[in-house]
Amino acid sequence: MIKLKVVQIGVALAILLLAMPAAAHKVSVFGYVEEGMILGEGYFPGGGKAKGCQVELLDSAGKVLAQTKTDDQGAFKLKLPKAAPPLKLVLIASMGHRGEYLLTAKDLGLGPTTPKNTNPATGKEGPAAQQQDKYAGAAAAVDAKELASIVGKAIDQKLAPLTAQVAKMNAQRQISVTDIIGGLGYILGLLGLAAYMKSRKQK
Amino acid sequence: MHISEGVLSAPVLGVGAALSAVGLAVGLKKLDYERLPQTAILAAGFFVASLVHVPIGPTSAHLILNGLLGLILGWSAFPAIFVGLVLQAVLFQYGGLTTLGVNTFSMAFSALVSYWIFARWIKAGNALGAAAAFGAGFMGVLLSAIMVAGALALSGDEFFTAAELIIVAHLPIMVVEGLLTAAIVSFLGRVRPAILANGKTG
Repeated sequence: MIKLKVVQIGVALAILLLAMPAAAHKVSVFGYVEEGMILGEGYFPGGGKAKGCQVELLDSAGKVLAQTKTDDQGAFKLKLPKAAPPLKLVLIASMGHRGEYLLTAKDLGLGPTTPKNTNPATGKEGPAAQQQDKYAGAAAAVDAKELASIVGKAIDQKLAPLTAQVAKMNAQRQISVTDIIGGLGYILGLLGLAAYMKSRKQK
Repeated sequence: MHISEGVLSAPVLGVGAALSAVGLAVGLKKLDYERLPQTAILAAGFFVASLVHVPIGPTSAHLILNGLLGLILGWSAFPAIFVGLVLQAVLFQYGGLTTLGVNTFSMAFSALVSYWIFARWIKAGNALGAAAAFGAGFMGVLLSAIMVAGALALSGDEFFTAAELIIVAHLPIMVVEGLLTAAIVSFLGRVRPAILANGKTG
């Protein structure tokens, strides 16, 4: 029968479409700081890239500090302005979709820095070393201090893409089967509740 | 079709919530005992349909099925769509809780209009019924798109730019929904004609 065919085709089409990745209806954005620039990307769930979307950087008062657009890869670059953290990245996709990401002081590299912690440790060298050469000891202390800050910065830089990767994975989190079944369960529960209320009214 | 948090202005959100509340009240009042199960089933269908994505060029959109809900449920499409949207917002982070009112109204009112226009022909016969079902599926998405554009326009966007963008992006969805609605309605017409007949009381 023709009508049966239509149903079959419809079902086949639906199954086919189910397998398709990428989606609109929710957009995520994240960013990290590298060498005075804020780098970031915009994503739809499932990994679709948010292309050509408006990106705004807001300060804590909600004032727009900078804006740009994402490129074909959904990526964007903004110069890090001198403003007090936390800063908010807002990505405005078309059709009423909007995503936010908060850049904290730590993300901006303005958090408590490492030298403070390492200073006392490096300052207390063995008595033999102190006696040998005061100048050398002082130089070593300064070097250690600088070194700590350099290492700290380097680690931050190396970690930045990793942090971004984690944010990206969060943004790309797929809808799980548990969510779907949970939702269907809620609907069943509501049906039961409504049926109960209505059946009491009928009696 | 799901508008995110923080996009619309407060008055638009308020009006959307108020209109949806009215629709919900009428829908719940008209929802009688016998039609509870099919309302729940269609709410479940609506909830899951949003996971069926249709890729369109650089972006993609998903099924909504509001035309189908309207055809079968009439006013009761309001509670069905509302429940589906609440769960989508909480579980999938589609749309948002503050935009629930606007989103419910844009999808459920379109469903209702599709019902008003097309429901009378559904029982008429094979070809006409299928054409009407296609029309309802197509119309449900089209009207939602126009209403979303309207909501965005009232919050500052340029109406025609927004409307054009949303309608063009959803054209394939409209066609797919039309076909799917026609397929489902003609299937129901053969196996359970009573479900379609019930819609008349809505």
